[in-house]
Amino acid sequence: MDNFMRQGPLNDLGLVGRTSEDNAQVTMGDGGRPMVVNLRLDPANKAAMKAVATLVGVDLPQKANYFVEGKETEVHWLAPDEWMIVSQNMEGNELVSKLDEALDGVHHSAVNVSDNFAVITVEGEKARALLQKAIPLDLHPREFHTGMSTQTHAAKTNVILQQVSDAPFYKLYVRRSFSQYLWAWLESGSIGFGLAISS
Amino acid sequence: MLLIECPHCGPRAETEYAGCSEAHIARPESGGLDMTDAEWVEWVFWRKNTKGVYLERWNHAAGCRRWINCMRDTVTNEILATYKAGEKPPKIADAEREYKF
Ligand SMILES: [Zn+2]
Repeated sequence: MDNFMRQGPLNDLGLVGRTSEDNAQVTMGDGGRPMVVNLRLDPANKAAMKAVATLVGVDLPQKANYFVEGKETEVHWLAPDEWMIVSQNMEGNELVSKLDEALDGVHHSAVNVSDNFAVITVEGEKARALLQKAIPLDLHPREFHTGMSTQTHAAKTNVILQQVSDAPFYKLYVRRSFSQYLWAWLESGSIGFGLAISS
Repeated sequence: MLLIECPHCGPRAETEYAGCSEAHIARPESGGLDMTDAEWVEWVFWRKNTKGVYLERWNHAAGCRRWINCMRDTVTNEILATYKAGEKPPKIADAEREYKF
C-alpha cells in the first residue's frame, strides 16, 4: 500500500528500463517528487523576510524570473509577493509549521503543494530546440539562462520552467494530472533529435 | 503573436494572458447597500465600448497570475502601455486617441 501511495505521476509511463535511441541529442527524465512549499508574503516586511531567510537558508529572491539556492533549498520567484520553496530533503508540512510559527501575526500564506507537481527534466544539445517548440518564451541564453526560473505555458499546460545548468539542463514543474500529457507532447516533439531516458 | 509587457515579469506572449474588460472601476465604498438597483446594475454590468484607446484589466494567467492594467487601441489592437494594478494610467501621447463611430 505504502509503495503504491508513493508512486509518482509519471510511473505509468514505464520509464525505468526504457531503451534510449542511439546518438540521442535530448535526454528526458522523471525529476522525482521534491518538497514544494508555496509562500506568499509582503516583501516590504523586512523582519518577516529575514525570518523566512533564516529558515530556508537564503534570502528570498526579489528579482523577477530568478531562483536562488540555499543550503538545502531552492527558492523560486513566482510573483512580487509569492515564492516556491523546493527541497530534496526537507519535509513540507514540517517547513510549513515552522514558517507559520516564524510568521505568527504576519499576514502570509504557506502551503505544502508537494503533491501538486511532477517534475520533468530535459537536457542535452537539442533540449532548448525541443522546449522552444512548446514554450512561447525566448529561451536563447541572452534572454533565459542558468539561474532563471519562471511560470509560463508549455503546449497547453502551465509549467514552471527552470534552467539548472548551461548543458543545458531544464526542469519543468507541471501539474501532476497534466504531466503525462506534457511528457507525450515533448516525446513526440523530440522525433528527429533522438531521445534518451535518464534513469 | 503579440508580445505584451508584464510590469512584473517582462515581455510575454499574449497566450499567457487573459483579457478581462474595463479597468479603474472602483468598488462602491458602501458595498452597494445605499445604491438603487439601477446604480448597482450600472456598476456590475455596464462598461464603456470605446472605439479607440481603452483601459482594460488583464490577468497574467500563465505567468505571475497578477492583475495588470493595459492601455489598448480597440481599433488597431495596438497596446500603448501596461502598468501595475492600483497605478494610474501613464500620461502618454495618443492616450486619448478616439475614432468616430
Ligand atoms: Zn507577470
